[in-house]
Amino acid sequence: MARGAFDQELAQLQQEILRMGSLVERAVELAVQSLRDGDVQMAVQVIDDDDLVDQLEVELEQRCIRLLALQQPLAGDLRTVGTVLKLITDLERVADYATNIAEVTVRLAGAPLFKPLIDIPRMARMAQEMLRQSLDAFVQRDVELAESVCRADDPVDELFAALYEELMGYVEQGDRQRITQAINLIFVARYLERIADHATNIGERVIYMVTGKRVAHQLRGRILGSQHARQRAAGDP
Amino acid sequence: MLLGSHVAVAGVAAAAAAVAAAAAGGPWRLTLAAGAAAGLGTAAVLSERAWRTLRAGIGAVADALAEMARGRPTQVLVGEPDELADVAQRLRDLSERIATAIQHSTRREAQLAGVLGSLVDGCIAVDAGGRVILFNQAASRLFGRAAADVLGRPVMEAIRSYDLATAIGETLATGRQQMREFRVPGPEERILQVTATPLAPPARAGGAGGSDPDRPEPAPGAERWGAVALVRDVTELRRLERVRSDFVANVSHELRTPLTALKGFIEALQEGAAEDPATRTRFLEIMARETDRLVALINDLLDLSHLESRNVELRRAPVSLPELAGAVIAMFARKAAAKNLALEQDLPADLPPVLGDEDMLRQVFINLLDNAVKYTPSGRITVRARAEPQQPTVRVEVADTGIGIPRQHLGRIFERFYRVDRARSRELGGTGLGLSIVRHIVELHGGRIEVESEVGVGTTFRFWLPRAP
Repeated sequence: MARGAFDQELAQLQQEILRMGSLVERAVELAVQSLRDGDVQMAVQVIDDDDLVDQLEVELEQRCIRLLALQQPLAGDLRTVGTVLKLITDLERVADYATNIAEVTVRLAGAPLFKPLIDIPRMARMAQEMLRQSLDAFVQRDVELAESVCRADDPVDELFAALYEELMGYVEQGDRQRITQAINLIFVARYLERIADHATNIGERVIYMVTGKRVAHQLRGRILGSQHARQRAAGDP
Repeated sequence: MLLGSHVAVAGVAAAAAAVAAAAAGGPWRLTLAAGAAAGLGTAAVLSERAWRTLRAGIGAVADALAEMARGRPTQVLVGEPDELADVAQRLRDLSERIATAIQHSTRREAQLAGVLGSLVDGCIAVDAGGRVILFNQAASRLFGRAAADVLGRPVMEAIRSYDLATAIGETLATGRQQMREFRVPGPEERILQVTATPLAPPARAGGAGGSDPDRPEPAPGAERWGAVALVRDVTELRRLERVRSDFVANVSHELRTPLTALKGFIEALQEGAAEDPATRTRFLEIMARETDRLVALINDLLDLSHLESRNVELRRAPVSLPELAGAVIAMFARKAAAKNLALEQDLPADLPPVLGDEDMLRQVFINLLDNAVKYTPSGRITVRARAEPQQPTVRVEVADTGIGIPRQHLGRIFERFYRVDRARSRELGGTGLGLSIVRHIVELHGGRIEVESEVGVGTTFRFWLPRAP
């Protein structure tokens, strides 16, 4: 098939990735909002929408495989299709975490939160921004932007460590309801931290896609470093 | 000479070709071709001098055509021969018509841009490939994107709203109108409603007036031109709907509670409780209290709906606050004394009168003092008023040393049925509407009200009323 047809397919694939990405971004946004406002209806919508994300993942996967089979792309094109294949898995995982957060909303429904959420929405905004930028980096094949996404993961990890510390404080001295809420909020913080990790993954894959080089190594070092800090903060041995 | 005439013929032919090309498609082609042919015929018998004149003339025509091709109105000046002068005249006409057409279309475009720009709703049009071809100011505002960053790009890429892109995408795919409502997150969340409609190709030429023959026909097979999405901000609408449904739910609940109690006691009396005088008296007392509460609630509801109807007539007159507040304070003297509360007034005798509806202002003092007495277990309640220096207002305060209002509730206590402690309020016979009524009355008077409170220390309501002139 002609080069033009392949490019067109690829362009369509990008738009579809963005579609899936924006659906996932929305899921994260609504999940955190449902938690903040105790809005069960909104949470249920997030949980329901997850099927849509799964469906998109399957569709995109099939598109990729069809492209590989029919066009047998090489070099950069091959890396692009390969990247899309991995990227949709990351996106699907992020949507799962959004669903998990929405489930926490449902679980905690009925009782007002013992304190208004401030850091969790902040963390959610950081993770969402990373997600958005990682997809921008993919579409624009922007290595610099992808790198900045990878760097943005550290502050999220630090915020997670601080939140963990704070919420554990409530677990240790609170009443039963507080303990339940605090533990669930720790889960939420963890999910958000994982979402940021997946955005970082996407960033790394984009760098590979464009340059053909794996930069994951040096960046991982920094991520591991902050993981140590987190374990120290969390009081792990 | 022979050579010269050959060159001349070639030159004229070239000019004729240029003329024909520039005017391609227009009704002028024939005229110009005829003019050129006339020139061609004469060329054979031209003298050297006449040839120079002709060449200069044709050069001027060519220059004029080049100018016209750039869209600039132009003057064509040639001398003899007459045939060329004729061409020049026709070119002048053509130039004028083109200039008029351009002017007309520029004006239309400006009008259209003005209309689209002043639309309250966002308007986004895409071509059949889903690329943005139109993005008005309202859309720019709603999505926080400049038109320049969006035009020419696929909607999904440029705006990154799943719902918007899906509505437009489905319209393009199905050719049917799509409607969606969605939230746009951000510091100030908004709810947007998008209606995407397929863009039909314009009616074929020959249809009713407005069709433009210069517009390219859609390629055969391409049935749709694209889609246009209208985006409307429905945040306020949805909020009002919610307020209304909350209100209805609250009213039903508030009415049902005393009614359930009444029904229960009536049934108990019917089933024999009426035989025992002591029980009967106790039950009737409770029933009287519940009835009072119902009456109070219905009165408050009527007051509130009257105040909210916005066509309330204020019977404005100068009102003396020491007199009015003094009278209300006297009304509460017994209740305050029963709880050992000091009820104090700090109202200077020279306080200027305020301009207001006396009955309504009395209601303000009654509601505020009623709350103060209810929620102050011990200490004092003070009504204070001062003329604001250099301002046409009087500041009034009702301060207590009561239980106070927790910080997180302060922003909402003026809402209808909002209660800090639901059970307690009901136990004290509150309707949940008192402060809402107070705020409405103060605002109707062009004033405003604020609250300051600390748990365990006390609460101060402060409001401003206009001075009587």
